Amino acid sequence: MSAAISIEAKLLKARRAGVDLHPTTLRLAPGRHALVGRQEDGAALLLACMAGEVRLKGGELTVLGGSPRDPKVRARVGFVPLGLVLPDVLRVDETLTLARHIRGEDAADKSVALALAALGIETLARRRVHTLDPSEVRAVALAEVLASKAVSVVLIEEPFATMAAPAAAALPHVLAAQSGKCIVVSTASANDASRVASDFALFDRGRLLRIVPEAPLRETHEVPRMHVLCQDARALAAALAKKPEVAELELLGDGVVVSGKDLALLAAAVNAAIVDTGVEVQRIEPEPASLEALRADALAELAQRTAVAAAVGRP
Amino acid sequence: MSTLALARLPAARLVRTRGAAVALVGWTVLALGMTLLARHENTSSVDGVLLGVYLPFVLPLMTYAIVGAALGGSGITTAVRPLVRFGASPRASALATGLVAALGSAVACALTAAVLVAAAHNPLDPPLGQDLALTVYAAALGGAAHAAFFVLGSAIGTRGGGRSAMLVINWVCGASPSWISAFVPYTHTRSLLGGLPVVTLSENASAWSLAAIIAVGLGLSALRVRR
Repeated sequence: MSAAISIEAKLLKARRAGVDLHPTTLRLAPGRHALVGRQEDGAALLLACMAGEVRLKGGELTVLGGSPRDPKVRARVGFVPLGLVLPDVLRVDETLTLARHIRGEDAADKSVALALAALGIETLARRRVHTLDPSEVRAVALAEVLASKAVSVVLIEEPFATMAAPAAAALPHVLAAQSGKCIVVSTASANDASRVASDFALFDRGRLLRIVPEAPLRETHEVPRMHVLCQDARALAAALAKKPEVAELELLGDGVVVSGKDLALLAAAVNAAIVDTGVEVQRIEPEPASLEALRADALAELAQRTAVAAAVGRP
Repeated sequence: MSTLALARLPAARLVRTRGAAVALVGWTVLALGMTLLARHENTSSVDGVLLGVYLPFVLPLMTYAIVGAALGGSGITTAVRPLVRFGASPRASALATGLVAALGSAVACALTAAVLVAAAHNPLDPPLGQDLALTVYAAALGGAAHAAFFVLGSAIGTRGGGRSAMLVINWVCGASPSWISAFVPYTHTRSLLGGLPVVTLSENASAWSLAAIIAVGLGLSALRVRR
């Protein structure tokens, strides 16, 4: 295995809670990667395999050149799953100090405090872990992992779900600033993946469909989509619903996702609706294609390749 | 990474949660109350208190609660999971957790036994100092062995339900006159506290047997922790 490869899976097979991961081959170098797929697609299962939490049913998986279940490897892997458990009776700062002791690092180092501050959760430092809500526990675990110099592989399940709001807001910038680490997230949201990763492994019912770089993920969809993050999403959605340029509209907790046939006309309609309603807009960003659209693209491409291969092989 | 670092979490569970403190204070107060009542009726004796109240109820139930507190109320695999997540060896973490439970139980059992001996002592008993020293030694060794026995139980079953089974086995086998009683800590502790010997074993052999139960209990529980 090349020294630059952090994680290598060869025909890896695994099973957990009724989800099967079919033979998967994948190589991940330092950088930011996303495993995109729902729970039943096996993306989270592959992440758990990388963290050494699930025994393989077949194939091989090496993380940093060793088995992911080896304690020496685990000390260099930071895993932030959903439903994370931290030492409940310790304070946050004590937990982080203990983690540094176990990872063989200097406990007096200030980097933990800096990581808490970078994620906007420095006020949690003196609180007992059992008083934190699950989103704060995940943010603390993330700070621990990002502060550690020993950790070379960072695995995050659903980075924006059950994550303290300040940490979720800071996460894309904080992850982008991590150099030399292999950061892998698993998510069912193409949008979340595009915010933190630079390439995407797309999964469908336990199969790796394809690996795509960031640009095609944002561009391949034929219908332009926009995500408007704003305060009064309901009022903006009502105004947008009246615009003929808007083909589809989806009301989310933090804003509105709109799609239309023409990007320029759609942008003009969104602009007019904002002016009409006077809502306070935080940001407007292009919305990546939905997971279903990406999956349909990948399956169509696969079918085309299969047809071409069959035609070439025909006498 | 040191064992001390791995011991920090179970030690914090013991000190910072109510389970261990409630068991220690509750059982001590109950046993002391019974001892003072017997003393008031001029029926108190060190043997009567230690073998009639302390050994069958106070020591096993207090140790059971202390082990539960050190493990955070779960099985040992779950108890060490937060440490394993940071890269600690599961087996070393389990061993450190078991050692903390055994040490905590030894101290608590020795303290309670000392209080009871001092309260129950009457002129017909051996000199108080000698009685205290022997009782503290036997209670500490017996407490640690009971803890190791329960830690081994906590490695059985997905939620460590084997701990409750071990409590029952300790009582049932401890009441048996056959060789099977040599495999539980109850009978050896009884022998050291001045009660019936275990089959034909001497007190010295019982002390070594308790040491063996500690080693085997903690060792097997660590080996059973899934990597």
